[in-house]
Amino acid sequence: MALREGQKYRKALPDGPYKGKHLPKSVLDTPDDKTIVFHFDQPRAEVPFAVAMPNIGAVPPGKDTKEKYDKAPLASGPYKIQNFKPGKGIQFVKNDQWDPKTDSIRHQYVDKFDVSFGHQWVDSTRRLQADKGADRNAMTFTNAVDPSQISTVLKDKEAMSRSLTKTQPYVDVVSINTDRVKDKKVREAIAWAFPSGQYLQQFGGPKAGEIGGGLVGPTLKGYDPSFDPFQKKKYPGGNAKKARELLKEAGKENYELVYAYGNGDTHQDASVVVEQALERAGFKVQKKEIDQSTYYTQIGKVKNKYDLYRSSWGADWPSASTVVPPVYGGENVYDDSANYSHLNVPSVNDEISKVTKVSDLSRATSEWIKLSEKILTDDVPAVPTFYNRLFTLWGSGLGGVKFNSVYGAVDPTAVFVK
Amino acid sequence: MLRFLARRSLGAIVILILISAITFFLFFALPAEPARLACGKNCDPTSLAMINKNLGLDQPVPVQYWKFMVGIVAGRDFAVGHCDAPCFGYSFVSQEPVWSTIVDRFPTTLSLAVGGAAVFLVCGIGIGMIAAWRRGTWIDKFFSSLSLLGASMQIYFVGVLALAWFVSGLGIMDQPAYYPFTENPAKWFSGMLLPWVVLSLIFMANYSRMTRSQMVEQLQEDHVRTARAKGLSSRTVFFRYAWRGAIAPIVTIFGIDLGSLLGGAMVTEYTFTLHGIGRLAVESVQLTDLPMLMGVMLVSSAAIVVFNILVDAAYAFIDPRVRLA
Repeated sequence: MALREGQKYRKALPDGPYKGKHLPKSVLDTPDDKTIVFHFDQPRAEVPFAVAMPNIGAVPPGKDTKEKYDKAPLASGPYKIQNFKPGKGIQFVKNDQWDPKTDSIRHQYVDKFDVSFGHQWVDSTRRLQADKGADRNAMTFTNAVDPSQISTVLKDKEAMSRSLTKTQPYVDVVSINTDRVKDKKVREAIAWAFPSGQYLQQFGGPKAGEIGGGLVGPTLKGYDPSFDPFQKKKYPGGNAKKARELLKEAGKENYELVYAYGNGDTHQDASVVVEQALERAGFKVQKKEIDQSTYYTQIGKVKNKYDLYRSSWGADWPSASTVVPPVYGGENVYDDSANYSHLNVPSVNDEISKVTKVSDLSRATSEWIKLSEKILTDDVPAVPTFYNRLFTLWGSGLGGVKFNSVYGAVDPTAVFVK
Repeated sequence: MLRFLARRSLGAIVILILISAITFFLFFALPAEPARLACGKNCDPTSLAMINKNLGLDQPVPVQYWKFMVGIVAGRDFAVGHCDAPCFGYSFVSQEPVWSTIVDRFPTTLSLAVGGAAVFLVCGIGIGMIAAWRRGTWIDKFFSSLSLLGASMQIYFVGVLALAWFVSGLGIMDQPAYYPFTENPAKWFSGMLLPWVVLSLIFMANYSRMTRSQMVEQLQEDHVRTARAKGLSSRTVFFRYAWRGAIAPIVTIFGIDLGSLLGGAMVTEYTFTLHGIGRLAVESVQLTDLPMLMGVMLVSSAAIVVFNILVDAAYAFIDPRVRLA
């Protein structure tokens, strides 16, 4: 059995775990009160990463409330839910059943976490920078300093002493639709011409991200900072000369590209920079604006009529195994899939199956990185643009605020009120 | 009166059914995939089909619409249990019952609308009357310019400035937030004060300008001149004669404004991070959450329709010439 082998799992237990049956011991075994044994059909080096995800936890049989579980999950950590209103907020209070001696990572310093949802970045930045009243004890998980306020906050030394800027696991790329742009030389020319540095500037510059050289980011194990085959760091505005040469070699001068982007301000501004750089390199660019709320549905259609479009993907855990197969694996070419480039190359697919079977974790992670590099240089399915960064503030009344690079968010586990 | 109410209520129901049908069918014209949201990052066609089936999205649109409408009147059975009438179903996004979400968000919108309306009505009409009373003087000119300035303002601009100055800068006002009136009236008041003031700045302008022009017009009417000629005090003439005539169009506009405000003040709610009906409406459109969108649309439309009926009924009291039938 395998957690990932969906079909076999379904055969073993066609109705899921809610019909009074349990998985057979040959699949999942609990030899004593403290051990769960998963039997896999092949080596699965990354299981520890998978089970460390926040949506996985052991639940005693009597506490499994089935379809009602998500409304009132068992609290095994330092806090429990007091009240939850989806879309509005959630409050956590101390869990008196939690024993600090059994848990060296998390703490119970704060009496209560009152989390409210739906704050605009402009508003959370204003409040955290002003640091008034109850906001002195406020923090945010993922709200960044709004791009429009970055320069003001940078000048505010006091606020900057309550800030962090860290790289997140989210990687922005501009996917190339390989069904339409079939010539690899043309794709290479796009990759050389693309102005990743100038593009990043529209999203907030170095505080919003760092220029990306590859398809996977620095939060992953085995990441190589020197990997930058299209010299995105050296040429922030793109290398038009190199791109022109490639187009000439391919006999595709004045190649027409359809560039699609969401109709938000930032993307509209970025589209101008992109258009100019690609035209400098000898492309003809046709811009197509897409309504932001349906952007991913539209670019997610396999039969879309666009050549270039931005997409973003975050690794689930620090291995490129959670990036390469879903985003560049050939079996994932269907509507709404993350393989926006529609890349389906037999050698890549074979390599994915091979690396999946590697049993040694550190070898597996480095093989995945190597494969991501090979995909970029051999197939050019996307242009690396930037690795997202989180630049955020918190109130002066808080201590112990740190960053969790796996979740790409501020980590509340050691936060205390001064 | 009863006949009037019965006829108008029937008309209102027809309007609401039409609105519901238009919303429902238009939703499916969107190039969006609601099931995609519930499908997660590594979504494949099998999971997508399963979610579509669970949400009932695999059925023909008219069938879905019929089931939805029946649910509102008679309740509906779902896999998780029975949903009592009025059942608007479950949100595609949060899986919460739509009706209880609306009930939870409504007090915020009600507080914002009623409080804001009280401020803009009192200030707007007051300013308009002063301007009309002192017509042609600097007071009139000052207030007329002021209301023009107010009318050209936008909440997302004034609101953000007000937050930056009064809350973050000077610190003389509380961060806007909703606290239930029943739990803490003082906190409720201080939490809503800034949204009320900003909301009323925009609306106030309309009311002061309308009051002024109506009053000016009324003060030139024959019956007012007669009253003056009869030697009635200027206060009596102003309030009992002119004001009575001027109020009717103001009540009409107020009814419509209050109805729309109860359907949610989207920009105000976003600007001040208030979780009301307006914000819920915007979010349900962004997230292609059909049941929530339908619920919010129907509640908002019902508010407008009901207030229109109330305004028409109120006419009979304000203007004795109007007879309801």
